[in-house]
Amino acid sequence: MWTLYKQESFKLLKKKSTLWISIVLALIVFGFALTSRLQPKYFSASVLFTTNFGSTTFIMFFLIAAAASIVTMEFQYGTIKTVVSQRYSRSMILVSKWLVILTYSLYLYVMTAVLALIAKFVFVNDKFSLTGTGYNNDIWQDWLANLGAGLLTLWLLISLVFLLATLFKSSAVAISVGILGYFVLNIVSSVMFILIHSHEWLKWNPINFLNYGSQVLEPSLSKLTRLSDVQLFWGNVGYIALFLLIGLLLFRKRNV
Amino acid sequence: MAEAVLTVKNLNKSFGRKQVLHKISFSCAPGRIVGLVGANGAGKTTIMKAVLSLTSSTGEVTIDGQKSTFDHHPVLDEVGALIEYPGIYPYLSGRDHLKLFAMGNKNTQDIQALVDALNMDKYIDTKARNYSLGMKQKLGIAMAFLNNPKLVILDEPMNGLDPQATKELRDLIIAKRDEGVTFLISSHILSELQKLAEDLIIIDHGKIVQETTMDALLESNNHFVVVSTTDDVKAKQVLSETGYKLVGDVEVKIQTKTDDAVADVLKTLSDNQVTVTDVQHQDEDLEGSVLKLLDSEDQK
Ligand SMILES: Nc1ncnc2c1ncn2[C@@H]1O[C@H](COP(=O)(O)OP(=O)(O)OP(=O)(O)O)[C@@H](O)[C@H]1O
Ligand SMILES: [Mg+2]
Repeated sequence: MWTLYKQESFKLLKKKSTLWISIVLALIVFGFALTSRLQPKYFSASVLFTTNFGSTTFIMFFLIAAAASIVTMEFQYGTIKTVVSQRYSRSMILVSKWLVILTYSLYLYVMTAVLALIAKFVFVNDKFSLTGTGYNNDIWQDWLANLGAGLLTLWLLISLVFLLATLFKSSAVAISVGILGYFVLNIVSSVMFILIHSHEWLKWNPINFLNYGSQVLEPSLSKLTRLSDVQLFWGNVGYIALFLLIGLLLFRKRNV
Repeated sequence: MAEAVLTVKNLNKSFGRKQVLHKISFSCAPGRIVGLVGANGAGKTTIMKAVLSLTSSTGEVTIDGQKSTFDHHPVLDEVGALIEYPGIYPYLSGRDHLKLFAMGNKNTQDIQALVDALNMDKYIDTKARNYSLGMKQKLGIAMAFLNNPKLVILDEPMNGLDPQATKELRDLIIAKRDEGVTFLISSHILSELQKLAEDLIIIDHGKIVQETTMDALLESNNHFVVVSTTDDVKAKQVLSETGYKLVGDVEVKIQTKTDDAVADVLKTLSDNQVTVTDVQHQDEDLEGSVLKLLDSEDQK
């Protein structure tokens, strides 16, 4: 298992895009921090800070692409034959891919969080204090809560992308569905809230659980999602486990 | 005979309703080079994929005494393979590929030895994206030889290789065979396979048609003697009267069972005042016998 994990991280780290993503994210963090200093009227430094200066949305795009390609590239390149004809079972292969993407997502979140702190002190230290009041709590509490909830809902998308990547051999499909899913959420959420209002059971649909990050900051959102924070948390965990498990069952049967 | 390195029993495989393997059973003895021969679509690749757990199948695969199944196949540690075309990550260098799949730590020399054996030194450290067909093929072969496997499965290994590389590969295979490695090789280039394979498995439409050794198959082949004479018409007449089997229309071509029949042929001719100017032996090669075999199968 450790061998597979090492193999997967080797492949990920050797990709040029992996280095570039870290650089681009650093530029985004400092770029938005600088913007909020220069244009405080339009960009609130304290609000941007809770999303690591806007980088969490970009992390989502990058990770959806990374999760889709870590599975589908093997089929595209034909390397799956070499990977599978080792001693390890298919389940172990897929699990090692999950773990590498999990490590990668943690790394990107921690890296941008550290950079966001640096950017705060360098560019916008006078705009807000970490112990000042944000939405409802201290800004630093909002920040950490938003990052934690964001990482969990990100994994809801990623688990769906993993499932799609094992269903379709093409990375394009898996990436598109993941990213479209995110945009669709923003578009349909108002419609969805109306539907949830009339059909209470619809609140259990997975898209509703993507609101976790927002609700942590804005508790009033629970009037629309009709779910408590705790329900949102466990719902995310449940859907992630479900999607990953279905993907695993499909992958275990996969002929190459 | 020592215990077989690979034993396949009653392998069946269907794609949807189409059954492509029918009760395939064979075994590969240690230190032998086994050739898998058959027409396009006969099922060679599918057999290899089933052995490697790449594709599901019913039947029993035993490698080095251990059962290997679709879900559980730790024994594949001892197997190296190249199936169809090599799987290559375009953004990795050749050496990265070898490092990626190498086990244990003492492997730097092993990798270099393979690179040298296949003459890949010039490009092994550049990105595989820019490799030519043959360069990729060689890398795929090197990956199959990684980690000192006991069994190496090669599907069309000569694909895209130039004569020099083909020879390097042949030398490598024979050197490893001498160290005790077992090979299962499929190839359409029968003249190449003839130089390598010791045992043969011939399949047609997913069934084993014949399991034999190269020597036995070639032995059962026809031998011909072609003579040039000053008077071919008379020569043919004399020979057929004496009871020889003549084949072909133009030359004087006699089908014989053994090589020493030549002396008799020459004596018969000189006794009848026909002057012989040249004698040639013609042996049917592997290609001829395989074609004949598959042809007779198709007529069944
Ligand atoms: N994924 C698949 N789906 C459906 N049928 C398949 C699939 N793969 C192979 N087949 C069928 O199985 C049969 C055997 O194919 P296989 O690739 O094993 O042949 P082969 O002997 O390797 O041929 P070749 O010499 O052309 O490489 C063929 O009839 C082919 O059509
Ligand atoms: Mg084939």
